[in-house]
Amino acid sequence: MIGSVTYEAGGWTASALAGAAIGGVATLAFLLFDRGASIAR
Amino acid sequence: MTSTAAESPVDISPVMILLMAVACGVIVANLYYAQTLIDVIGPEIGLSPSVAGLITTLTQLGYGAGLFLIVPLADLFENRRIVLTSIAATMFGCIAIALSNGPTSFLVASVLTGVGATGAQVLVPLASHLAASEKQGRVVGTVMSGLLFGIMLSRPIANFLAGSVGWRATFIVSAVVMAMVGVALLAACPQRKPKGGMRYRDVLASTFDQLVKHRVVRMRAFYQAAMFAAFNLFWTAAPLALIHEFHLGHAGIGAFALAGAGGALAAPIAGWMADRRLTRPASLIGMIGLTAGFLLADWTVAAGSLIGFTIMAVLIDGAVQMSQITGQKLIFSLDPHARGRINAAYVTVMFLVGIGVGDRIGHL
Repeated sequence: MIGSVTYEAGGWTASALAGAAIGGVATLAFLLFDRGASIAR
Repeated sequence: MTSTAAESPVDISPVMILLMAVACGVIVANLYYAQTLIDVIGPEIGLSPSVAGLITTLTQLGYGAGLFLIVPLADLFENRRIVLTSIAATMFGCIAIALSNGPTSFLVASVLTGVGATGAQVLVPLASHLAASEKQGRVVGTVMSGLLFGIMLSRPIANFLAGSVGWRATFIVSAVVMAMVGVALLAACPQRKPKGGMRYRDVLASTFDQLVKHRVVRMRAFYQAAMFAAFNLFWTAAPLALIHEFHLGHAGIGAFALAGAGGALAAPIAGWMADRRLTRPASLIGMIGLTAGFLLADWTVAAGSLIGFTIMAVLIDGAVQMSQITGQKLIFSLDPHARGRINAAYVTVMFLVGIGVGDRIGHL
């Protein structure tokens, strides 16, 4: 859905920026809140 | 082989890993055949265009329900039997679709196919149970790469078969392939009998509890939900860019999807890193790779580079796999007796959020 919506709103650039933003949020959450959860035991 | 892996791993053979990867791919591919061929199927069975979208929704709802209701059964019943039962359900769903003459029977069969396809998510933790601990990451990575190949190749396969033998025969072919995979698993896949001793409703309640109990499950489910949502976004918007920016037709878009499936090859690499406790760098590589892939994909489209755009598709798919395999390696190492429920909690959150945000490659 969001892929179609963003493309219709602003072409490929809008979709690409939305995808990069999602990746950025995941990366930030990982760096700020993971607190060692992803370290193999 | 009829050996039983109670709770201790046996040394899983490369052939068995390959069989499980192929099984995951052919099972999951069934989720996407009907939505790919809906333009052909709809008029023949009297399905109006406004209702045709229900095919995707119902199949995915069936899959989502199966993830929560069936995958936790891996902690309760013998695992191979669950997989074979789900394969049988998918097979009957395919046959019912092929024989459908009206919208109702077609949609019911689509739901059955969706529910049955969750057997793939029982196979993944089963593969990890059968592997020695130092090889679990690579084994899960290889099996999961089969699952991603199945998703990515489902569209071109459906189009090719429907063009060659018709849409009804496409589902019959799929049912035959499912039967062959089922027989192969029956002959070669070891059984695994979990400790069990729980009631079904307690197992379902305990599936929720895994999210509360284990912080790593919550965090990895969140990361992977975001990665899967971005994956869906890419494979919904990229075909539109290919049509409008690169003027490609269906064949060109299919070739692009085939090339993008190459990202699945990152899965065994992620597994190898996870087996060496490099889970944190592997996670970062996946997340930063996804972000960079989208930014560079914008640049490649603006520059009119189809090759560059294709490489970014491979990078994005590979990044999603990197995060997925690392996450599953981490959560599978928590509690072997609750692995089915932990995987169910993880994939249910990932799937529902990811699907809620975007469509997959159904718009190719």
